Amino acid sequence: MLASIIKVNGYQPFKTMMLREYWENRRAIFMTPLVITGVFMVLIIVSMGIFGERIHIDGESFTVGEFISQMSAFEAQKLQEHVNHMLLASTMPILIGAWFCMVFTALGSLYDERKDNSILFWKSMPVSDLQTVISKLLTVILVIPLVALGFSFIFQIFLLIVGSLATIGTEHSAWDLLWSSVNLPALIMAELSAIIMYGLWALPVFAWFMLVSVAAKRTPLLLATIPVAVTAVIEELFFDTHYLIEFIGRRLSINGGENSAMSNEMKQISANTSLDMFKSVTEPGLWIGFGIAAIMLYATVWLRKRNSL
Amino acid sequence: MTNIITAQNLSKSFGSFQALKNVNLTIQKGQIVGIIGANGAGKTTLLNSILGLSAYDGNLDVLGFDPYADRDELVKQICFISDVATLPKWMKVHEAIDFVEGVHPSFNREKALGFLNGTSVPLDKKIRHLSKGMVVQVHLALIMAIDAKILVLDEPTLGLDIIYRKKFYHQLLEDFFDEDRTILITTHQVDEIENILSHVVFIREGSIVLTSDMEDIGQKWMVLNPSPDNIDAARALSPVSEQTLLGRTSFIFNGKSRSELAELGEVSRVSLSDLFVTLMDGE
Repeated sequence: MLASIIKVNGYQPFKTMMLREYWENRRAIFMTPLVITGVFMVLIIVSMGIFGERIHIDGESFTVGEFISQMSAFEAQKLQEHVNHMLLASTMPILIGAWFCMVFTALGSLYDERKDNSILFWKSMPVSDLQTVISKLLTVILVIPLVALGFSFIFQIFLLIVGSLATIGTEHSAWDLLWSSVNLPALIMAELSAIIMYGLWALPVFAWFMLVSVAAKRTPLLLATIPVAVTAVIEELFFDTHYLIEFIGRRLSINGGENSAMSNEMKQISANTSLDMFKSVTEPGLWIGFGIAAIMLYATVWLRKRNSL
Repeated sequence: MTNIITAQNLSKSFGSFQALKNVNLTIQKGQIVGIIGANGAGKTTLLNSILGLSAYDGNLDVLGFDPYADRDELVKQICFISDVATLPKWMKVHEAIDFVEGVHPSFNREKALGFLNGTSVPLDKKIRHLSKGMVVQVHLALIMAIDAKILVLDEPTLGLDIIYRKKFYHQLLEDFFDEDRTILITTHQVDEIENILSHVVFIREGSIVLTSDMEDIGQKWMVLNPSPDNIDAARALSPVSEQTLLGRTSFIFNGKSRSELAELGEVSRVSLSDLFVTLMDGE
């Protein structure tokens, strides 16, 4: 099935454009989360309790057996919070890796093609500049985090399985301790919603990266950051305010920021968690961000149309 | 004959530099047009305007489209190979084929594979690992498998050795060209394309200095190698240019009768490269 999805069959412009992005950014989309997930799995297998060694959490050290007994001493409510918290926290390395991939893919998206002249090849094909910019934007804010989410989910299941294996030979049941504490469909839905809402809130920042990418003569990273830093310093010096930095910080932070539902309510994950996260779509701040993003993306399309060489 | 490209007062400036100055040009279906000019004469600018790659002033109609506004529609019917290697280096050959198949409605996959089967290009290699000649073959295979009305070639054989260049033009004529198609070519190796062109456009400093059909050029422009006694007589007929090489003087004439010149010496057809030099030097 996967093979038919990732294969071009005849004239399918949109699918082909997305596949093209995948071919170009295979590392950012697939290899990075794969490697991070693999490394952490190996680390856990090697260093954690399976071999009866001691694990260290918050400066205390236990054997797995002790850890399990301690967990089983919690009441159901507390246990759920702990398990969910552990599962969510465990995905951070993968998601942070994906975040860097998003930033650098966005910065290179419309810059690399000019640097290696391939823009002339892309432009010799019947694909509009708008379609191109959209396919790149979707890759950055949707495809990269979704693939990372897939790996996160695999990693969470892996943790549950490792945890279950650790209960073998103890009087505790893996079901009571771990599996019954987690609502897996709700967990994945909550993570999915978090990623979508993150993409929506961070849209103006990534639109800015794409605008820089289409305009930069060299080093888009510097062009993306230095003017912003200078503006922030000027704002600080002359107006004694820091709206710009606050704006960017709120938009970019993975947990917290504008979308409070993401951080606070993640301990209790139920079917409602993802709905709660979507509540912030009514906030005017989100729509102001869309407006800013739309202006920058319009400029991006216009510049790509104009700057072919 | 149908006009497929019509340019009226086409101009383009880069800052204070005028790359194209009020160019008027019509190109008809079935022509193979060589666009010839020195470096910086405006050839690439003209082609880029026709391809919708850059904005311009004036009127330009290509197959009924305004190229800059409707580039994505227009390039369904125009193929293009530019002077620089433009195939993305990170792409594998089979991905490039998949890509064109997916975004181009009139691409024929079997045809492209057929061209490549005749070469030693490996389909699973990345473009960056292919030789320069192979990259051009891949690009040509992609382009020729598209059922396009116009093919634009901007220095397509730059950096290739003579064997590849010969093959390239041979394949172009054999496999691509027919009377429903039109080809625009620029190249510095004028002599190599001389025999395949039907029309020629000379461009100098952003203006067109001559457009002609190749037959007319053969009839109007002539080279005279007069016998030594007749050199002064030849000079008196006001040649367009005079050249002395290894003690032999030759003159290029425009619009003189062949018989009149033949009295003074040996008359031959002017080569495009000589004509090019003449037109670029002249006033």
